[in-house]
Amino acid sequence: MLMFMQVQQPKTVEEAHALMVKQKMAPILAGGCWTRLGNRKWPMVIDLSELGLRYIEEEDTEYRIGAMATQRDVEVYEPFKTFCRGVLPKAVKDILGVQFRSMATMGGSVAAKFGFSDIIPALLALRAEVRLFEAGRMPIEQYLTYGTRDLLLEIIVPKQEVPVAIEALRKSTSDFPYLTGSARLDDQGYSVYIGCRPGKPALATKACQMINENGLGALDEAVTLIQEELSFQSNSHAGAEYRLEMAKNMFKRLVKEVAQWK
Amino acid sequence: MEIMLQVNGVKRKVLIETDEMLLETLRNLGFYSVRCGCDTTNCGLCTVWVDGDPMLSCAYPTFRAVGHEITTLEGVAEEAAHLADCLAEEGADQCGYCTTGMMMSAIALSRKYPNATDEEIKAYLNNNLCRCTGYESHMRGIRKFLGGKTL
Repeated sequence: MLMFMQVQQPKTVEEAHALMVKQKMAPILAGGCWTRLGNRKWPMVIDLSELGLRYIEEEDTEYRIGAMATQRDVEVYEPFKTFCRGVLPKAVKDILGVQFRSMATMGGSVAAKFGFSDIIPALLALRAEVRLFEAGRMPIEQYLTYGTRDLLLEIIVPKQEVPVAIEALRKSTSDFPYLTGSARLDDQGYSVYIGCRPGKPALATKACQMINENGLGALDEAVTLIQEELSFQSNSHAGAEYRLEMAKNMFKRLVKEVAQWK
Repeated sequence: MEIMLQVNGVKRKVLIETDEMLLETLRNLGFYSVRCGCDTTNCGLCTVWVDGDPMLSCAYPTFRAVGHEITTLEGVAEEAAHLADCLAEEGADQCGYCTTGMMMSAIALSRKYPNATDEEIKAYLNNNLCRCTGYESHMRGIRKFLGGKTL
């Protein structure tokens, strides 16, 4: 459960960032849904609920999702129901239930960089960016390896109607996924990301290169490369070997789905 | 810490622990319809509304509730009584432990999506677990409740 002695509720992003820098160990509370699953008692937490970061805005070329917008906000936001065939609502809809998604935030899901995230693979396929207080804008792919304690302000999704597909495998409804994936097809070719291995989602570079150079006829050969380039491990949700075999099939399904996009 | 909390339309001063969750606060205030099931955000038993949206009070820090309207089952007693009748008539009342959370979700659904389809009902109540009934009786009861509201 979430235990702490003191809570700070900054009113501006400047104040929040200064607190984050000063209180290096203090957890940042976005939705707080996963933070509470630990057992540690924290001297202080920094709560972001009063920063005015709960919004979704549509611009000419992009959508801007405030870090404190909830997963439910994304699920019911009208333009997202049709944007890229509803990929964003689809990415959140299996995360527990409505009550949970009304609390869990998009920023919290991204900033925590959870391996089991349903959302990050979709954002990777959409070529989303994040805007950080200190570092400014950066592609989400780069953010996944960015190590600085920075304040995530918003997620920026380009308005590009390109073929994208996502998938998450679970043992049962509302459980954590044991494998996630996403695919994109654009003028650069296919990009396929596999996550929850159980690590953060990563691009299957060699496998994608194989099909980009040789076409879909090389799919069977391409998936054999996945184990060379991505690591698979075992945990309570699935074994490493099982994950790998499922990843190969997921890769094929995702590629076929974006290839057949009309 | 001392905060102002608005529950079921009534404002009150409340003394809470800094890290207290809304579930505990509401029970301390005597709102016993709000109950603790899993305490890990899975079961939906502790569902209350924050500004009309169903949320899990076991994971909602009370300090965040300041300035928001909290609604418990006690605050929607009339609709709850009607829904309870519908559920009981359809046999969705075995041990009854999940019922209060289920009702908070179902009433929220009826207000937001009065013409919800079966699939929409299932999706909306996905976070409310029942280990007795297999959900079929709940579905019948909720359909009856929604139908009654739109007649």
